[in-house]
Amino acid sequence: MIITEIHLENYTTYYGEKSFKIGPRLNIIIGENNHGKTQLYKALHWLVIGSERDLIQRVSEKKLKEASEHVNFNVGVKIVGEQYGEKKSLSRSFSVESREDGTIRLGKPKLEATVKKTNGERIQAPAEATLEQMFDRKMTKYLFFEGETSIHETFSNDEALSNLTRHFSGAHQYDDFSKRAKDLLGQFDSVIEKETKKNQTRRREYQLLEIEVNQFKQKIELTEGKINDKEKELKKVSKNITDVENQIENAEELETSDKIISKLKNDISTLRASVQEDYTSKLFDDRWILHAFEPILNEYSHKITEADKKRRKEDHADIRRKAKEKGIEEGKQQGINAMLGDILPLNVNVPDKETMEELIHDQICKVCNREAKEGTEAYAFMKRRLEALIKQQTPKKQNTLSLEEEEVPLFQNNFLHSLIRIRDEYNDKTSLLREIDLKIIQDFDLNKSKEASLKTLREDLEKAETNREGIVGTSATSSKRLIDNLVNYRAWRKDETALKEFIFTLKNEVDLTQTQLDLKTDQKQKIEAETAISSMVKNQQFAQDIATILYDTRQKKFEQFAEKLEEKANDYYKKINEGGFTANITFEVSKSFSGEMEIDLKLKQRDGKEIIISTQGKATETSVYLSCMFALSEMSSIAQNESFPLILDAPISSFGRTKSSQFLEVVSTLDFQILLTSKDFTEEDKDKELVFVVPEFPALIERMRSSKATATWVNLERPFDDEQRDTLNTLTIEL
Amino acid sequence: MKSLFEEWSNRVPKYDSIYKDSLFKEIAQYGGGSDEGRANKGKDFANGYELYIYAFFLGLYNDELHPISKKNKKVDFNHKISNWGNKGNRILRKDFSDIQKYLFMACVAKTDVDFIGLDKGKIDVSKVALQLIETMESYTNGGLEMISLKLETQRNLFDQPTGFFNLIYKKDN
Repeated sequence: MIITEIHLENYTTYYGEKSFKIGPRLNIIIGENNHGKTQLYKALHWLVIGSERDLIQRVSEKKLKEASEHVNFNVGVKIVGEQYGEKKSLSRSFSVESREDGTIRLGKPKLEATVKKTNGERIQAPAEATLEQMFDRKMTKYLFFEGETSIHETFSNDEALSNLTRHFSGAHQYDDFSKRAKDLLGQFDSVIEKETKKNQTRRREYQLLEIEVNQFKQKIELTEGKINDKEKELKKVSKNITDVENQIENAEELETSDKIISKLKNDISTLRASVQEDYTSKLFDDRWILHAFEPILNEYSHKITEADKKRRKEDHADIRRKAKEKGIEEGKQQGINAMLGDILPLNVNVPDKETMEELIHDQICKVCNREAKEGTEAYAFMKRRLEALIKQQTPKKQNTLSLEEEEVPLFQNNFLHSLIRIRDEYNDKTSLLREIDLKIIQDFDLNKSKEASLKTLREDLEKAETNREGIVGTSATSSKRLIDNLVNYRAWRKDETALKEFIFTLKNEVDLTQTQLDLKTDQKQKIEAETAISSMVKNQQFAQDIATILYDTRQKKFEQFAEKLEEKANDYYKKINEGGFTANITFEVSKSFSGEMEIDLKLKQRDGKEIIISTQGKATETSVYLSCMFALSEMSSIAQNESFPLILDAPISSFGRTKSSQFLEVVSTLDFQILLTSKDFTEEDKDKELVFVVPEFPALIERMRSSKATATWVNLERPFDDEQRDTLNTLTIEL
Repeated sequence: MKSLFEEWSNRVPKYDSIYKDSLFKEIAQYGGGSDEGRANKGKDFANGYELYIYAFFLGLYNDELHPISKKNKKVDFNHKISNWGNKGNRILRKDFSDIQKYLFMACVAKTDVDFIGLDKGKIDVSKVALQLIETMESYTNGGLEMISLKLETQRNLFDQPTGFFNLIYKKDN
């Protein structure tokens, strides 16, 4: 889209109707401050944005003063342009009515458009749609710049370059495809999930996994969003810090100080990570909850021992009773306890089988520490006891030694046996219970000592930070700016540390959640693979592959575009700064934590050393950003087969006349439309009675004529009262 | 034949439903979940059963044997004792399944069981297991009452990492 004419009607200082003829490339509007340059910029911006606020500020006061009662007049701005071979005009205006009672009534602003078709037919066109065609709304932010500061603010924020690169590289188009691939993947997932849920046996398990997987996914998404935001904040803060630090001369001392600080921070992180304060978990994992269990264990042991004694007593009495009833002399089996008489015998499994075999083999009773040589009664006693134990352990059907197979024993069950085993096993572990108190004390002491060390380290860090601030403070750049910066500097350093720690924690959280998600997804997929139809699973994998390919392509497109952009930006940058030190503009492409591609704009020497852009003076900074802007415009017109005019109000006010001339000559060769205002080429005479165009400007215009550059001088009609707006009338003079 | 421990640990003990929302959902990762999830939701216990075990020991050490009121509904969290404390896929945590045995010993110690009748076959093992479960539920109920009371008076008590530890680790216990 090319603007060919601009018409202003009773717009601020533009009294009556004023016009500008605009060429397809560079158009320079020159003039003194407050003569109407910025008003022209604002009029164009208003045409596109269409604010209804402060309308009265847009009315020419001179016109208003002249208007008698009941007189209506219009205030507005109109552009005529060419696009797709059609001539389009677009205007935004409102009526002003001056009433009898001295009040003023302002009409509602109207946006109107007409289009002259290629066949010559002129039609009223839908205004909003025409506006959208003539100025891509998404781009407005990057087409209008009021003053150098707005250029700096926009481009020093890396998001602008990243967004524009995404837009023009076509990478954003893949967002839609990626979304569709994701939807497709989602559809396959839900079909598989539905199919899997049909399987009744694993349904419950599957549903639980599904809930968990979704929870983990949501958590990761949420945390990644947070990381992204925090990384952006961190970038800004780090940039501010670097800017200040660059003003410091004693870099070596600073470097040493930084090393100390970095080590201290490292030590703090490591130590802090080792402080384990999850005491509730320790109650279970380290058995702290059993700290008061010993009396309960004793109670249990006592109860089981008593029950066991009672059982043995009844058993013993029963055996004796049965033997007596049957008149059987105490035989083999009963004889094992003959020596004890009425005294309660131990269970036959005490000692156990292995121990008993060892005693027999060694022919020594190691319980009473006496010899039991083969052939003695003691030896025979041990043999009989072992036989009885083996008999007890042998299933009844195989027990050929049993005298009374059909006889019902007094105790049919032996539940006590396993309770005794638990007693014995845990009595052996009593020492573990006794150690708990000590372990708790040790743990708390350890954490306390770590906290104390942390406190010391933090104090050291604070000292080191103060020392570092001192180094920064003694820098030669002891201007007010540095002092102001130093105030912020302290806060930024704190913010930076806090942000880094927070991001670190968040990333850890994501890693952990991812591990859990992977685990659960694996389990879920296993069930799916077992239950769902295999072709479905294959389709799901296919959709996943498509999504990956689209994602990679999107990334590649972005990188390729950024590479070309860098090349073009450097072309412009070198030309604008010809003969001076430039270094190189570099676009560092990186991927944010959420996978979004980003560009980091830097200025680097040939040896790779970075030069902080903001410290190179306003003019260099502006030329870097303008070079990027021009490169973007050029690349966008190639990518979209369409370009939009750049409208820049006083973008080079810091350049000075010579550099401005050099700049304009470079810019005049660009193959897209630029409207640019400048105060560098007019001057007032000593008495401030007259403004004139500086002698070198006509020559400059002549040099640029071949590249279709135009120049218009906006100048207030004289005389005017410099304290009365209603005397102002801007004249437009084509040069 | 299953041992008494197996009979007991194959069961799911219950608790008074009045604590479901106020305690189990509030301070435990109710219905399973990861320890990481627990930490992020500010919950103190990674599982319903952790809170259950905690409440049991709290009740036990403080001799608070309070059977669940018959008027109230009993609920559970569908997790057999035999699964409690198993490491499974719990990241950052240890296996503490041996605590099952301590719970069991405590229940046996505090329940009037006729072991002779049991071994003679006069009493069914499932009946004894049920008796033990009732003891368990009663101590847990006592412990839950204590926690609930504490939360009423000191809402922020458990914001401290040592909150639950301090409550159970009083040397006069």
